[in-house]
Amino acid sequence: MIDPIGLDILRVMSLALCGCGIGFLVWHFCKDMLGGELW
Amino acid sequence: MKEAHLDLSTGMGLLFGFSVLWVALGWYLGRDNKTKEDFQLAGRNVGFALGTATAMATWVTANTTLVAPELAYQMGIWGMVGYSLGSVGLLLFAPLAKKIREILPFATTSGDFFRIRYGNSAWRLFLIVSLVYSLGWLVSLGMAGGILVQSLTGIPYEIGLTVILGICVAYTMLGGLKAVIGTDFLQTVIILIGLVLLGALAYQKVPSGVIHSTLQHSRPELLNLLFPAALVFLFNNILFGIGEIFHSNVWWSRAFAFRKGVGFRAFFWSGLLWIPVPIAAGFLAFVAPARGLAVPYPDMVGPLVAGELLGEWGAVLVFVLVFSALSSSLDSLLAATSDLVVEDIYKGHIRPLASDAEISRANLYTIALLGFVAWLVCLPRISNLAMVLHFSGALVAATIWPIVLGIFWERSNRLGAFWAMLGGSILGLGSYFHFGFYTSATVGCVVSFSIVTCVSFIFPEKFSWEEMNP
Repeated sequence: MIDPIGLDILRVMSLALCGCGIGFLVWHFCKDMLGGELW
Repeated sequence: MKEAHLDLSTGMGLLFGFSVLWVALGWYLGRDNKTKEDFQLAGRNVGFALGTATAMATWVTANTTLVAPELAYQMGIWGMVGYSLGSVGLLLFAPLAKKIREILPFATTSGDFFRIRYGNSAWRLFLIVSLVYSLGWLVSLGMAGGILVQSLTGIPYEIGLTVILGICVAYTMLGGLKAVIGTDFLQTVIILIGLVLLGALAYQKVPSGVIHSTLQHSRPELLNLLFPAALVFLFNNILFGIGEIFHSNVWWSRAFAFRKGVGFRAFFWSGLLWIPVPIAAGFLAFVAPARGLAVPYPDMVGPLVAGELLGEWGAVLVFVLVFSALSSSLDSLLAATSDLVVEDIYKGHIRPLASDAEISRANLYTIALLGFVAWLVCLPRISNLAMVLHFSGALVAATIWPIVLGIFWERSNRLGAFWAMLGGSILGLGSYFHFGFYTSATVGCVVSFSIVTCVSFIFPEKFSWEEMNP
């Protein structure tokens, strides 16, 4: 049985990682675009 | 109780706005396409950012955004955590993508691998498996699109279905894989932003402590980390996911399209970034019991919670999020399946001497035809049709080992591969009807592994990688 803290950590972590995913993709998109490496 | 329901004019406006955006982007991205390779494989030069986003967006389907909350609602923590293990398929495909790019530098489809490595019989059997799966997926996405538009906006199912299929067909025809990959990037960012916004607002309005105490009181099994039904489902789901990714031309065409050195990193990172998506989506479902929401259809629990928390804006967010998830998978499937039909059936079986211009034309007709066939099949809204995708779990899982061994083991035998796929599919389907859907992929995979390894040990081949280059 998961406890309230475990549930909260899982919830916050999933949202934080989705947020990091946005940053990661946008960062690499800009990097590739500036380096002429998108396509 | 508020429902996630938009008024008709807002729904129409959103549908029209996104249709124009995707079609315009498709045209813009595909305007420089000159050769067959530009259209089918984006010039084989896709970079890391677009590569990662397209792999991720394609794997985030309507299933991820609607079914993850449904699974969380029915199977609890393990339902959504188990669903997130669907990322194992992407992670494991990373080394395969690297190897595929090395051993088949000029190939176009996954069919090329089977034809060259295992010969015509296994190739044709693989094409049947792959087309059954692709059509099942296409129909389930088309139906999901029509149902979603109707349930969120009140726009009739037939119109929603027609618009979603129509715009995906239009922009895929206009820009080929470049349009698919370019729009995928935007769709991935939209999906992630939507999830973070919805999740953060839900967190603010319904804290985890409230969810925990409500669930502990009303449905404690959802908090159980060893929920047996969820664990059985989990194992089968992982194998189904691996089979889907390993065999489908949707993923092989990306392995061919990514620039040299990009494939491994792009698939690996897309797998990592995908892990939190079903969990973030799944947590929305836990808000329903905490808020005392009645859930008539578990697959609509996500939109229902969004409507409860945010009213009309919640419905807008869910609409945009699921619409993006649907389009990003539909366009990929249309492009990759048309490549398979044109290269492996039209050129491989009907017109072996077809010129590149002829192939490009055939690609356009095939995308339109696939869209039309999917539309026709989806139109009567027979829910059992979506079950085709579930049947195909056994079929695709039976291809896992013939593919892996064919790539990495020179002794893997062509007859063994053929009988492994056939035997695994038949026994996996038998298990589906006899024991239940949650066993079919496991049985298909185990039977297929046993056959291909036994036959290959008894009658080993000595295959040289150089022969694989057409």
